[in-house]
Amino acid sequence: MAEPTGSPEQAALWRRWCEAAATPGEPTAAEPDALTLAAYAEDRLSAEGVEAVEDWLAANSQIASDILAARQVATFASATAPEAVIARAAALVGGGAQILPFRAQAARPSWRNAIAWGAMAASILVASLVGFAMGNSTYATLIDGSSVSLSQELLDPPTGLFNADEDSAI
Amino acid sequence: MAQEIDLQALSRGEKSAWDAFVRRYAGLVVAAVRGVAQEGGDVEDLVQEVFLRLCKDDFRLLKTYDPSRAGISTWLTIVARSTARDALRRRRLAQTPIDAVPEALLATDATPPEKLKVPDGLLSPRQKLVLSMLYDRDMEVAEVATALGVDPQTVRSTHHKAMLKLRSHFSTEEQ
Repeated sequence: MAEPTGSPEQAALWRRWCEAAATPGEPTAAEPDALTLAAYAEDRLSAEGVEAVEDWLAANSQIASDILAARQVATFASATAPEAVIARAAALVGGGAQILPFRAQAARPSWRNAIAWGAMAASILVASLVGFAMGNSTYATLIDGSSVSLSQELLDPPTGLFNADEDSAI
Repeated sequence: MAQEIDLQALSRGEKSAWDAFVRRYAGLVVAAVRGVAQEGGDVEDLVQEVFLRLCKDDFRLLKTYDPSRAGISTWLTIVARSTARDALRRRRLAQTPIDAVPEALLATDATPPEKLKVPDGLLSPRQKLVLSMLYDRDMEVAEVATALGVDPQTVRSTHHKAMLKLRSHFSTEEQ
């Protein structure tokens, strides 16, 4: 006749055994994959297979509830899921995402290319000429008027179009 | 049940097969995940994680399923609960600041304490499993019996024999 289970003395005995049996670093039984656990839950394993799974389960008894649930699968096999859950899961494969390719750039006519490059060359040429003329003029001013210092040149009113003397002469 | 789903089309990634698979088994996955999730709000996300795990890496996990070894509902229940448990563990780890972990848990002891030697094979794997489910998991005898696929009397008998071995072992050790 089996004794009733779960007395404090029995629990203490089990704890004592666990403490004595636990050896850090000792290799534990290999973890069975989901298919092996499922086969165990369906009583499809050989005696050796059952022993190996139970050896691992004894050290990982939190998984025992999975076996219990798997054995009771018939009770919730007909359960239904909300449509939103189904739609979200279905979108994980295909159809859920559409890839939009970049539109290919239309080829530019060659005459437009020629104009663009010509305009760029012309602007570089003009900028070079203007820069050269300005530099040349500044250099000539500096070496020509030896009596007029550079500071004086800078402080003097501008000559040319806005010359006040010329305006007054008119 | 596996016959209802074209597993080959499914592992080829055919959209129609995937849709049929999801529609057929979403309810089962929801029920399986609900048994693991502590809060109801997590269930939808956990179900999504299960289906994501099934189809990711070109259906790698789904391709491991072999109908000759176990029914797909049983296999899916195991996969769903395992995935949900892993996901919940990851979330708990991500949400727990290091300061909240007691120092005793972080400490490592380089020299493990001396243990009493327990003879190998003192308890059979089944006896260990029965005791672990009863005392570590606080499962009822009927639940243990269902999990093991035996009748409750067998569980009581297994428990009784295991206790006799333990009592005998420790009483001899004390003498």
